[in-house]
Amino acid sequence: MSLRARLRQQPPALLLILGTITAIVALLPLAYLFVRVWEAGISRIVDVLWRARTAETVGTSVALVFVVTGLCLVIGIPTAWLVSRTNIALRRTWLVLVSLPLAVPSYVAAYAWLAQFPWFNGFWAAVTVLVLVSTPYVVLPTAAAFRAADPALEEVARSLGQGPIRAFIGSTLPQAWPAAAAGALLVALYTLSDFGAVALFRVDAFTRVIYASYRGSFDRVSAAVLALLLVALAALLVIAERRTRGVRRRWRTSGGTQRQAVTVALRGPARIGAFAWLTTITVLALGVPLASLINLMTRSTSLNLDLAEILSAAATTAWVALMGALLALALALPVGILAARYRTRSVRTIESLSYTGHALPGVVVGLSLVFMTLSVFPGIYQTVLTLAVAYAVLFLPKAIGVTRTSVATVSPVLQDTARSLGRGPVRAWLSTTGRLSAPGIAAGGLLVFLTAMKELPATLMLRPTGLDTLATQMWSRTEIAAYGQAAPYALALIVVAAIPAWLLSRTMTSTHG
Amino acid sequence: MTSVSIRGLCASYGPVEVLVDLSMDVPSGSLTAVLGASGSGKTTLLRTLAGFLRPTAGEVTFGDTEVVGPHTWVPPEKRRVGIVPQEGALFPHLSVAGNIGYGLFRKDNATERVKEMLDLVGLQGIENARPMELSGGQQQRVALARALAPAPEVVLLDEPFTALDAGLRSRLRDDVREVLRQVGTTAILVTHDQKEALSTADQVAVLRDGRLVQMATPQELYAHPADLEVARFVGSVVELPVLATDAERGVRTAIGWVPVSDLPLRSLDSSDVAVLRPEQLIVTDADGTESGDSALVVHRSFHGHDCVITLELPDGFQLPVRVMGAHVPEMNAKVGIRIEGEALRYY
Repeated sequence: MSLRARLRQQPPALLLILGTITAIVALLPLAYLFVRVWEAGISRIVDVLWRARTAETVGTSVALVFVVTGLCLVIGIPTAWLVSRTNIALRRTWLVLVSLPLAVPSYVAAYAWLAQFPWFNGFWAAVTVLVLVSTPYVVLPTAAAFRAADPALEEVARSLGQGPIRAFIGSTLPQAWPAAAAGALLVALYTLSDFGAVALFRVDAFTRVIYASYRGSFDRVSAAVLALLLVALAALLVIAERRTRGVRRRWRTSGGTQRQAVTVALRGPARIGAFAWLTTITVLALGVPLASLINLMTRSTSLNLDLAEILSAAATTAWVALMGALLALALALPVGILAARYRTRSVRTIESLSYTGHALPGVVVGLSLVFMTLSVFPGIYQTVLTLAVAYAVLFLPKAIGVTRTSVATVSPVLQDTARSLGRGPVRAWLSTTGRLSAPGIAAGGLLVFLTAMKELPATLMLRPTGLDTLATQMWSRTEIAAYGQAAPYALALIVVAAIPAWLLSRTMTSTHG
Repeated sequence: MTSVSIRGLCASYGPVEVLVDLSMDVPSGSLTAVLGASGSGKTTLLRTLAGFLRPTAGEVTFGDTEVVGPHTWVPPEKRRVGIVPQEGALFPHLSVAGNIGYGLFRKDNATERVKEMLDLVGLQGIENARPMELSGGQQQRVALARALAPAPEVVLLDEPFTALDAGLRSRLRDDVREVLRQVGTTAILVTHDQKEALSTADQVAVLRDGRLVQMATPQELYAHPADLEVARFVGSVVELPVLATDAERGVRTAIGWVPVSDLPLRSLDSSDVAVLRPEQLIVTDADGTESGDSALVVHRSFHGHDCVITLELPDGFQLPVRVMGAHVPEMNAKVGIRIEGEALRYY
């Protein structure tokens, strides 16, 4: 009772002010796009929307999203079942192997396929790579749900006279479905926002068209209108994803400790089939890109690599990503504290506005900040500051989520007690809540840092002239088909990306296991 | 030593009023329990006294110092209030010594003071232990030592024993009372457990819907509860419908006349009941009843040290009776009932 009462208390004014600043920053790119489009006038907007090209773009993007999401479900659910509920050998290893593709940025995977098979191109090539890269979004939560599924339900179904398969479909599968659906929506959002794979395979989806019309630079209104249309679609997915979260916990029927889920013993051909299935997925998602990269690397040793250039790009990447991560954390901290400790309407508004970046593809944030810096703040056009703002907006949801969770795990009673023992509000906060949530917040900062290091589209559009990150170096070489020279950058990016993927798979398997 | 005086305290969360014009006095050096069900406002009262929550109106004085008033607001760190939160809430990143020494600002004699406090709460030589390594009872003792170390004016205890198992709870309760008596600090204990309030406190304040319903010593509260709800809250009751009243003999019920000391001067109402504690009903051998009727044993539930039997009277009225010891009537036995003492009250 005291906890609920505490949540209804009014938050300190200073926190509210800082939180409002965060919400404004998060909202800025989207708001500015609206302003630009509005200024263009209704007739121009209708013009752009009415073009045949726009309908084609929508069609391509929607088709891509549906096909990729559908295939991820079809491949992801059986895979999740195999690695969670069967007696297949090396189950833990398989789980890691099927989640590792998360560590491969889509543009790196696309590049690896393209470098090896230059004929591999177009819509279906993009589908293949996006499915391989994003299936783990379905596999990980679904496997966790299968493992957490209450075996008693399936047993009851069996005792009521259903066969093993019908009992599985009727009782265990529905328990995993909400998790799979949430994963599928993440896949859809990822596919819709993806720039790298569609651009390399020359698929005219939203992100590529927006980027092209920005590069062409004679038609900014149409880029802005398309960007808003893309955000609208993404927002639909985000809302749908939020909805599924509420449903996910309904399947535990009662309190008390739950038994471990039973494993199904696969025998003979079934066992061989399962092994073949997992091997095929792993070879396609990990084997092909890695083999391609190694192949390119060994050939490119003769291409006299400029080691100094690679190291300088790595250092630059780390530097701009660090700026972005620090800015994101600084903006996230007040919102995370508010969300963890207070539940008033103003806090809820601030929190949900700060999550805007979740529905903003990198291309959109890049485009809006280019427009805005050019016409409103020309002083910071193409500076590290603008780039850091873009990273902060894009990755605020991650940073706020982590901050909020870290703060919420520390009981507010500790802080109260510290004050009773004679410490002022700031010192009491620092020595209890601050001190205890610091490791979690730092881990969140690391996650943002590593994610920012591999960001491509916004970096391409906003970086200062002459500033090169690993991603942009790799990109500019790939664009001119200098695949061999791109290889070391691609490899460095995979290493950078592997760390958060490893962390993610570890937390997902431990908290639900 | 410091008395606590509360005058006209009101507090609310948004539109929800949690404390309504609450006034009470806690004598210096006493242990006062604030007893109430969840939602009664007892935690809000505690948070207001500690300074974590700003009331909408009212005054609070510790001794001669006003800490809450129309123009006064002393922040928690300046109030010299020690709090013992639920489940201890020790700082998990500090050792036991770090916890107890947290509120000590003159570091020169901190080590000594920590040791002194540990002796006081009956724990020796665990200065370097981590809170995680301690049992629930030990954590509570350390939390008490931490609260007492800076020699506070007032100690507030927020349901400090609820998380512990029954055996441990009563021992810790006695020890805490002993420690508080030794240091002589004014203490306020918030609880929803009537047993805890009755057995620990010098006086008990009963809170309901943010209002003070009754403030009395435990004995007084049990024997003369202010209303029927308080009577039910602080112990089991037998409620007998009142059939007639008489200035001499008290009230007439299904089991006979029951003496009542303060018979109200008003006409009888059909909802009037005389309230007794089950132990005031004495079971006798059949046919010895005061009203002449005998009762039938229709249910027994055995608790070891005592047994609660349900008796049915000829008119169908059922009432529970507590029987001590081994002499428990059989099921379907016919017994008589005698009343010992007066009815608590007649409502």
